[in-house]
Amino acid sequence: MQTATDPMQAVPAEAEPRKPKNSFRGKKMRTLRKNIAFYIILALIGVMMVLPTAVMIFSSFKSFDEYYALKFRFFPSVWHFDNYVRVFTSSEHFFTWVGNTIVLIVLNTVLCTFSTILVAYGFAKFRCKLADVLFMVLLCTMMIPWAVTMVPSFVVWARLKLTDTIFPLLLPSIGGSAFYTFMFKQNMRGIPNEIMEAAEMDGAGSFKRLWTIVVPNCVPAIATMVLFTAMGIWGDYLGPLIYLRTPSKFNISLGLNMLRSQTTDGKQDAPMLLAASVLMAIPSIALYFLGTGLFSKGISLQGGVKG
Amino acid sequence: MKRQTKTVVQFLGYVSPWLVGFSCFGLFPMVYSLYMSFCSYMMVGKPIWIGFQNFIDLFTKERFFYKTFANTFVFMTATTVATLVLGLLFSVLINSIPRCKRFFQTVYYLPAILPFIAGTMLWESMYARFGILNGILGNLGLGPIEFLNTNNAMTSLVVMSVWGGIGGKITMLLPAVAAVPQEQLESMDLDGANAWSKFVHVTLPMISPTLFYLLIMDIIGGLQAYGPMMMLGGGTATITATLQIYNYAMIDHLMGYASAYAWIVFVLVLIVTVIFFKFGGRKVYYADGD
Repeated sequence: MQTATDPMQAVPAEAEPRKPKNSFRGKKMRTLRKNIAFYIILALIGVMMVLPTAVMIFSSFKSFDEYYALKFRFFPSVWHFDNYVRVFTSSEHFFTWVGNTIVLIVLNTVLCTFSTILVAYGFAKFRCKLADVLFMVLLCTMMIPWAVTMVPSFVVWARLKLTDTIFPLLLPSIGGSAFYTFMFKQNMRGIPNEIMEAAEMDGAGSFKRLWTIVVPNCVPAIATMVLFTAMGIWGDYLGPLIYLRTPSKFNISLGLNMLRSQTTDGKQDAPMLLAASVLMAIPSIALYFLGTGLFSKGISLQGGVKG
Repeated sequence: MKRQTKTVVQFLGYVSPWLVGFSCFGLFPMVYSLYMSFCSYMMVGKPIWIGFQNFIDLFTKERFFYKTFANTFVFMTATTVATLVLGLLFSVLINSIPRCKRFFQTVYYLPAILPFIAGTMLWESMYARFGILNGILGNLGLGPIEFLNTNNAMTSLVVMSVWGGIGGKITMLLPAVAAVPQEQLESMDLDGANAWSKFVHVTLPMISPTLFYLLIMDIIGGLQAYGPMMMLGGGTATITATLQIYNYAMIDHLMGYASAYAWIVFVLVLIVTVIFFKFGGRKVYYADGD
């Protein structure tokens, strides 16, 4: 690490503070006042961050008429739980959508995580010129705009007559995720080579070393990826939007979007839609809280952009 | 087998999933897209080679061509600057309080957890003509505002995106801010440095790698924004390049034209990224001691 190249740093910090005791108490008071001010600011902004979600939750319990009433009330006057019941009965396909989404989550998460582990292991532990070059390519792939690959991919899938199936939403996972490959590689580099070499001496092949030494050492990072990938696919909308056409094949996001376009007298069934949003947010929040304990250990970007 | 050769073979074996994935879903589509951008192709028959006609049409005839890029830039700049500045500010605040750091981090991240469609429906109900915000305004005796009309749509979409984007920035920036060595900040205290100069001279250089990474990722992402515009509308006031590409490809099936459009976005992303690496790269690596 390099110290900041600031001229002020060069000044020797020897000058004794006058009246050490008073200054100490003064500093303490100042810190306390500062902390209180910070807490108040953070709390106010925090309320602003939560407020829309809170409004969504409370509005999801309002009756249709109360929702569209001219006067806005934060809490519903009568709590209508039937909005939530209506979500489930709103479409004959509702449970199919949930099932489709779960299938997508399981297959994609398994495939993507497995590939990412293998690829990151390759980049982390088999150093060669080719690896360095290809790793730069991998990092650059994060720059390719989605629009560039979306159009030809759609053309190819359509020609293969595989649109409206799970394949266009599943097979791209085979390459793993560039972001998590980067993260796993950083993690795997941290495993001392001596341990790897000792295992090699004992006759453990590279594949065995991966599962007995490397993977157990990367559990937090892998768990982070699993949870966040699952969360991403649970909420994925733009991918399925391109490829899925038949309502019975929709995932949950597309399904809810279909409900969104249904109106009576030009008005959406907003309380029901908000109830659906709340229901849809619950698994995401659960996954986040599951993952958040692992998150701080898993992600570290200390290497910066250059890695 | 020589050890070096063995390493290369093993390396290729392990990265083969990525090689397959990248070839099929990255490299091939890119090349095919470049080819199609010189063709007229409407999903029937074979692509017909028409040279630079798509590009000429885009630059000269496309009605909203410049408008889409102007909108893209406005949206990208506003969301990037706002989320980074606010995310950094909140990270510094959260880092300097003694307790409840995790609590605030979670609260600020909450909007980012909402699934895309849930966030869309939430803000749709907020911004609607008979929606929640107008209800609140009505309580205050203020007239209804059309949040998604030509004048307001861009601001509304930026507010929504910033609300959802700050949490992610804090997740990345807070660990970086927390990793700034306390001794350095304290030694500046003794010199009588104020909070601002401590921030500028110590914190900022130390976190610059993370900040730079987020900036680049935001710019790349921002140049491709289309989700909020597609869902909440705003018409020509918010239409972005990628949304227009989506419309041409998925609705009109003008695959060649859409590909040409997409490549212009790609080149733009490349140019902007290179410029940032040229200018930002130097400062960042110095601070990182790389």
